[in-house]
Amino acid sequence: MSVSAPRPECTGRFTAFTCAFRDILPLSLAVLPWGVLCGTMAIKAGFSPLQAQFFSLLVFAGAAQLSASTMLAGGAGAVTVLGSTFAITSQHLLYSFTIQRHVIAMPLRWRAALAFLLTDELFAVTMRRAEAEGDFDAWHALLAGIIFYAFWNLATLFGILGGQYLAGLDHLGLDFAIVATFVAMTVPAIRDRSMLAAALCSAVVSVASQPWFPDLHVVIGALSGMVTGFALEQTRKAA
Amino acid sequence: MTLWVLILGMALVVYLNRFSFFSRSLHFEPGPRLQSFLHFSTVSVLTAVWVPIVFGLGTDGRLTVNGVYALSALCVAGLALLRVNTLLVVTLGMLCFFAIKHLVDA
Repeated sequence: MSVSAPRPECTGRFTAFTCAFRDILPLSLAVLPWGVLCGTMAIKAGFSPLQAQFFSLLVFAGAAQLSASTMLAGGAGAVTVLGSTFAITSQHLLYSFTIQRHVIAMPLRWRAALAFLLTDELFAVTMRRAEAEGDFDAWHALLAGIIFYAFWNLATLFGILGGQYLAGLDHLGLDFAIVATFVAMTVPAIRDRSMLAAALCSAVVSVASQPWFPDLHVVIGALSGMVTGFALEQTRKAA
Repeated sequence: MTLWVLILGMALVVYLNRFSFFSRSLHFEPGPRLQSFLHFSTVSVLTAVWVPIVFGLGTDGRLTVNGVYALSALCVAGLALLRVNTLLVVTLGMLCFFAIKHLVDA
């Protein structure tokens, strides 16, 4: 399968870019303080400026990077850090599992690129668009992913260069933008009782499991929500 | 030197998590049941990411709530019900958030 042309409402690369930019912008802004913090924390953990930048360029996973820097500063070993990285980013397995059917027929270079760019934020934006358009839009995903990557790495660069002047950035509450965006995306998607049950179950289980599984609570919560919603829907269909 | 190896190792671990199901060797045709299961993934994952930012649980079982976040999230949910576009909801939601935060901090 070749990658389909941009959607009618997004004709031409430029308009496709504008669409992607509009969709990923709130999340790109929300992630800026975390990018800055990632740069600062990496330097504090003993990375050289070049290493700190490549940390964001190659790993491109905020939660995993922040936790690795904290663990390294606390004297943790490489194996522990890698294990925790796997656990923290294991929700990406769920993302690639969900998106698989849309991308599997694409050439390897597309799958490889989209996988590299597949963050929480890109998953959210892409699935929202897939739902609105009725189909997966590969160009939109690629462009949104690249824009988000640029924001993340610029923020890291700022953190590396001037982190010491930006103390308290993480206390400004800018991370509320993540909450705002995700709430704004979830609410319209809850159209029936089984979806509501999935959301409620996911909320309760993720909060309840966080103290015991701080690296895995997102996956545990999400899977519980999916199972609950699915079971309820099957029961209703059978009834 | 070791840090470079660690950076590459982490990059590999994260990439494997992201790429795994995009690889043709793990390919499968999801049946209607699996598709309906996956249909719940977006809402479930997004909820599992944002709710623990607002609500926390101590190991003593005590629930902590970030009041400013919770109130602002309620505003956003209300705005989202109006079915206007997401960027507008998020922008207005952030304005609500800074207004509430300002009132609380004052």
